[in-house]
Amino acid sequence: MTKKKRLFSAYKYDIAFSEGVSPHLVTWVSGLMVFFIALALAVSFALTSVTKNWTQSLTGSLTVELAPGAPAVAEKISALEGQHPDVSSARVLAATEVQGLLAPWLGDAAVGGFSLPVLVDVQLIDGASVARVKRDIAAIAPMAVIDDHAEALSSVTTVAQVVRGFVSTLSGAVLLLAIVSIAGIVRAKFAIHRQEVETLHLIGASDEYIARQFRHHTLRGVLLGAVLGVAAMAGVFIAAGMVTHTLNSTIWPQIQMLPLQWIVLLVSPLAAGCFIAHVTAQRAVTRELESLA
Amino acid sequence: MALVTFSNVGLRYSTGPEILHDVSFTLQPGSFHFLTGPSGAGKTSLLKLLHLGQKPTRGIVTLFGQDMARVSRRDMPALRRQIGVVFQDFRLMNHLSAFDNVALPLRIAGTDEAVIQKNVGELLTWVGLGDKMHARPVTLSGGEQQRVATARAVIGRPRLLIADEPTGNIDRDTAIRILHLLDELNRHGTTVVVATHDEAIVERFRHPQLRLEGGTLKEEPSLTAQAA
Ligand SMILES: Nc1ncnc2c1ncn2[C@@H]1O[C@H](COP(=O)(O)OP(=O)(O)OP(=O)(O)O)[C@@H](O)[C@H]1O
Ligand SMILES: [Mg+2]
Repeated sequence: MTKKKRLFSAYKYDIAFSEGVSPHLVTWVSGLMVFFIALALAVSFALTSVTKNWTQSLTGSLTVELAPGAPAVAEKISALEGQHPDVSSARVLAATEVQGLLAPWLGDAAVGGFSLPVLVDVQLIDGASVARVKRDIAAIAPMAVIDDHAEALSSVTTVAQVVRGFVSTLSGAVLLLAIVSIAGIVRAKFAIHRQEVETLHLIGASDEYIARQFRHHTLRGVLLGAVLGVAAMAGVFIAAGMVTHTLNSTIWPQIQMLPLQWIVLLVSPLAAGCFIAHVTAQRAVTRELESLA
Repeated sequence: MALVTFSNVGLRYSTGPEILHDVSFTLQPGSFHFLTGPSGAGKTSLLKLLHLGQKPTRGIVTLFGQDMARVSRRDMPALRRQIGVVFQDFRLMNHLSAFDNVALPLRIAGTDEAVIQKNVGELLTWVGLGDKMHARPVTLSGGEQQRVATARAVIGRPRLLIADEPTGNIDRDTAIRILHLLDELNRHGTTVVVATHDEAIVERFRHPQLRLEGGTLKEEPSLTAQAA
């Protein structure tokens, strides 16, 4: 068909798509879908970036807790700095620092009456074997309690995973709803234009010729929706950035999206939209066409 | 070889009564037949079988030498493109101009746009619509719509041309003009079948008849001497 070359605005359909079901319906449905999914994707990327920052600050360090009154053992551990290949620094915390850490739980007054534990903050080099360092410290101080922050880390990771799971479930639901709606709209259009479709069929149009018109028309609506949805999402994201910036939030500066993530965010809704329009329209129309002799 | 052969063809719509019973006839290439009979006799139903708009419930329909029961769905459109149909209600696309309506079968067949421009323009001029090419069907008179529908049916040079009551709601002069147009195509080799209840037209053009009564064929045209 020579018309195939005339893309979009100049494309003339054999079927009167401008009549009947509003051509904007598909645009609305797909626009909202793309908006929500792109937003969810952006939240998910931002979350990854925040947890990555937290994780980086927590990994690569150990806190060694020794019973009160063991200065010699504490000295041996702090001497690991410069001796142990995996340790970049080891520092015994001053009593006031330990007090500061415990005060919120025990109260200032109570803290004064305790004999405080000795804490050693051990920083590891990149790529250090945490297990080996823990084993070596245990050899020096068998009674020491060594905290590698694994619990705190795992709870951060768990929260992030739960949020991400929730966001992707929600996106999946939105996607499914959009697909079902678009298929429904295509079917409704088919029913409304059945007489024209039948005429095309009877004068020798192949199923593919007819399906192509529905696909093209649907694709046009979905693409417009996807572009508007992505634009709305970008607007919300930029607005959120400006708001948190003026609030001087401590989290916002940690959210940095890589160029690749921006590309994924902008391109994937369009690509997904094209794919969904194509497959959904094709399937819906093929099913309807089979009812013709 | 016969262009069309019906052997003991029966038709019923879904679970309704049988509309056509044991219909058998053949159409030779280049023949011209009138399909006559009272209202409700099954003329339109028979034409639907003939232009592949409906499958028979029983019996064998052979078209262009092929048993239609053995033709796959994929191959049907190509066969339909060899059959031109003037529908009783025209079935024109109301949002397309007269030109685009007539061009439709060519566009479906993937004909080159330059060829389309030339042929469609010529044909519309020939049927007297040279100055109405860009008019929408709704703005045309019944007779003009009839001519657009006829032009769309013949633009692809079909081997078989089917017209269902082409003189239904138009005046005598236009009806005769349309029949002359079909005669002209027939002289160029197209096999024609025209369903009509217009006795005057049948009298005037003297082509052999297929007569349907209560879903049964009364005269077999293969036994009738061929006119034209
Ligand atoms: N799609 C259909 N579904 C069910 N019954 C149908 C259908 N089309 C036609 N019929 C029935 O088949 C019978 C024959 O109808 P058909 O239209 O073939 O007659 P006809 O000879 O063309 O009549 P007319 O001269 O009035 O056009 C009628 O009783 C009609 O009710
Ligand atoms: Mg009829």
